[in-house]
Amino acid sequence: MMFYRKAQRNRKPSYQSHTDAANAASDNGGKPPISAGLADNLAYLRQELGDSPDMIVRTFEIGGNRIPAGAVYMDGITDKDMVNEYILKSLMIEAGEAMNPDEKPDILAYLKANALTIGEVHLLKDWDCIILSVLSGDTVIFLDGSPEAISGNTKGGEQRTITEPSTQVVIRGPKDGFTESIGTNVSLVRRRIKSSSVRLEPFKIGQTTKTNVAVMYIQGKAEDHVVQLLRERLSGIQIEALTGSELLEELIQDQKKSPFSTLINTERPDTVANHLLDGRIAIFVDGTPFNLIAPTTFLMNFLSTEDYYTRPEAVAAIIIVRYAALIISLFAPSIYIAAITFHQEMIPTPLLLSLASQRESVPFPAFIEALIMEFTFEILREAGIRMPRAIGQAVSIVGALVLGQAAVEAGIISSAMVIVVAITGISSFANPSYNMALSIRLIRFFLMVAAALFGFYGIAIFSIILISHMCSLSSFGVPYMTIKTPSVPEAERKTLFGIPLTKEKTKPQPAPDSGGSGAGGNDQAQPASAPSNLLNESGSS
Amino acid sequence: MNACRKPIAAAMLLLLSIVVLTGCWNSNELSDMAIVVGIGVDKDGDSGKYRVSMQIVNPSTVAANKSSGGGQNAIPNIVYSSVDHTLFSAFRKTSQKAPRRLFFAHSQMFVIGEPLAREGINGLFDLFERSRELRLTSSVVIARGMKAEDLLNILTPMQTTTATSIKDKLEVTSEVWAQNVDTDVTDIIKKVSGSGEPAISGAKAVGNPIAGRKKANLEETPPQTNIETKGIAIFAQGKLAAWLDGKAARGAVWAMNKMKSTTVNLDCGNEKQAIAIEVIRSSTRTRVHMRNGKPVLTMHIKEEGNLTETNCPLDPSNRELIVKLQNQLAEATKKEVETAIKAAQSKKSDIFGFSTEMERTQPKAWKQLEKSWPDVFAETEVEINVEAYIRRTGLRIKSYIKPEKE
Repeated sequence: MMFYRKAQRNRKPSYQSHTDAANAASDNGGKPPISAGLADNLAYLRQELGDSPDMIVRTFEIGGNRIPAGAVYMDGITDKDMVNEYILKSLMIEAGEAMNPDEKPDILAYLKANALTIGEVHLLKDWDCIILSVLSGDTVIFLDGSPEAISGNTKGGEQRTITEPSTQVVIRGPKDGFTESIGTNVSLVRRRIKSSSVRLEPFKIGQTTKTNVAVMYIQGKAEDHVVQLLRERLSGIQIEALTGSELLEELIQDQKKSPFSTLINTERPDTVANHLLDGRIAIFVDGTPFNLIAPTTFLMNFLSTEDYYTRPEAVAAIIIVRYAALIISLFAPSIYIAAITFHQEMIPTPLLLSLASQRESVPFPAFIEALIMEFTFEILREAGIRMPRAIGQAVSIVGALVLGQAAVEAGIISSAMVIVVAITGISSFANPSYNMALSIRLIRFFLMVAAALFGFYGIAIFSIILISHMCSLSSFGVPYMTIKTPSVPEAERKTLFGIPLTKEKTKPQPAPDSGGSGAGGNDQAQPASAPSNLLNESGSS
Repeated sequence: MNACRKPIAAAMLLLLSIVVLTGCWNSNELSDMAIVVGIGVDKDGDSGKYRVSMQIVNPSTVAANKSSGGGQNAIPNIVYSSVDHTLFSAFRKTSQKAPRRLFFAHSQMFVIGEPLAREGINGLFDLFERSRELRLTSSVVIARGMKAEDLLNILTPMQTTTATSIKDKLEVTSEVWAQNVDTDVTDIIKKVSGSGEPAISGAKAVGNPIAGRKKANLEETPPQTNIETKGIAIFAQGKLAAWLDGKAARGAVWAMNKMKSTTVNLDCGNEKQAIAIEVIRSSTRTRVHMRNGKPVLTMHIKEEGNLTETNCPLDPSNRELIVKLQNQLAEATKKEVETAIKAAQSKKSDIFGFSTEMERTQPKAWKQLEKSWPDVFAETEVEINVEAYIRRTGLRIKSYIKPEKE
């Protein structure tokens, strides 16, 4: 499994014949070569998979020569009809009829060429490929006397159907959303952009999970250096398991230590299509409906899918509301704290009197009061997400009553603070980007501390630090605070990309000679591409 | 890499700890503060000390916050007074009496008792400029014929505090009636530091000031004791010299170019004061010329008004009639301004800012006249031109009132 570390270096990954891959990797696996005996092979495979009950082995004989053969597939992730119709039927009945019993050619090659009536067939020469193939849902056929195997793509089984996305709902716009299947997801985007310049590059990430990851972009629109950077980062990943796009996001972002996410995710194929057309890159991860878009700038967080389907004048106005909501959700509690504990002279007199009268009976300092309320609100929000829907309502009613009504009436909390916390909470939901809302939630508490310590001075200092930090961020070399991507001039690009590339720790070696000596020079190199096309299970389901 | 990071990290930690160790500098909880809305100053008998009164809001009475316990029956504001040689020490001395830290940033009203005003007010305002706690935008009034403390002690309906009540009255009346001026501390300091004299409105109690201290005053209509703004005090050498009232006060507002809006009644033929004109815009331009070595002031007033009421039959579609009314308005205005200027000249009190104009436009002559300016001012000839226009006649053209048949 070591070869994943060095995969894909210096070279544009592509669908490669599995045979090259097998050859390249054959001397490092630690596994025995494929035996010529059918029984040995099947026994070895059984042993490798721990005699798993969902591994189905069907033995049969081919043609007049009655060559013993075995088909191996996993129950549940294969399409049984395909196995029966195009593999077993073809081999057991049709191949036997067509085959000349006198000839003794390379039977496997013959079968591959003449017998298997299935779209995608590969010849496999090492155990790694065979095991991966079986576990991906292919059917692998062994022939007695052949130290090779054939795989037929029979991926299938149960999948969630395409439904309306639950997190990014639009009023006017397409209603389809991504599913957990990468093949389906890619096809949903493909259907929207019928262009030959759409490029799709597969990766396999995770030593144990071998998760399929695909990068999609439009050649000519996406900037080459960004694509190259993404490729290098993806191939450089060494991780045991990749279970979702969140983890991948963490692994490929430019700056690791930041509350801000420099990749946005989406559940909507039309959003991905729109971003691809804008010259961005989509990263699909198998097993999650949330796929990533890169590079991401700060302002992209304020765009909702709805915006593409609404009149631009209205969108412009609504985006202003979103900015305002961001500022409120970030600053409202801290400004309130600063104003009533430090800068009372700034509050208009009638408002100050009103606030003072509310705070008469409150036993806590304003900061503690704000912390209590914000914390309670966070608990409520967290509880509301975890609870089953029916109970969730009860939680919110109790929460709202306890917080809003009882706490104020008991004189523990001032009603102004309830208003501030409520507007803060609602504003944080107005942001289309959940990631951004999360970051804001976190930063808000630091701002509150700064406000409680130094008032507006503290808020100003913290804001300067925050803005400096945001300006230092980048997403695949594109500055996070850029107004419009991509617009980085060539010279700046060099400085931006040069440094992170050479300092990249996850990369085993820098790539000074890009292009020339490929992976062939390195005996450990193995393309991440799968033995068979991993992305087309949707075709068979 | 780690080797060079550690000292930096340590330095950062030290710097951060400095930040935290200072604590919550200047932090004050609202519930620990007593919000002072008005300050009154009187002289304390013959001791030469000031008696400073601070009006504090009782916050629990402000909003209808029923849960905060018993606030409804408390009086809305409390006045504490302290005696000391300086205002500031009196402020701080009050901490012996007030249960909370006094907070002056919302003080809107500075009331000066008339007895003190007659002895001189020029020394009172240094604290306002020097202190970060007080506001230069506080309005100033003279408690007319009484002590400032007594005025602040009167409870007034509609407004929470006496101070805001006076402040709001002053603001509105100086805008729509213009027989008072809303003077703030900055205005006074400007005048006093130049060669002019401040003009400060008066506020006086109507009714019994002692009875006005009781909450019962809020439970009756009309209130037994009320506060009304009345007149403009003019000063000479920093001492209250005289009161201008009624039309003379309005004339002074006109001459000071502070007129925003007012109502002038004009005669309608034989019927006296039967037409109401609302002046909606007015500007006054003052120029100083030297004639025979003496300054001559020319004042040009341009005003616009609307016909708002008439008690006699009138046809405003008649252009000649409007011209006549305009002349009448100009005449009335001129008369009022002349009254005001004469009154001020008789007290040698240049409240109109003529000295500033003189200094600005005739610097050479000013140098000679500077020392004797109050006397020169009293003698100076003032020419007044009034340009009056009547722009609109309201929603009705010809009045429904029919001419009496003769």
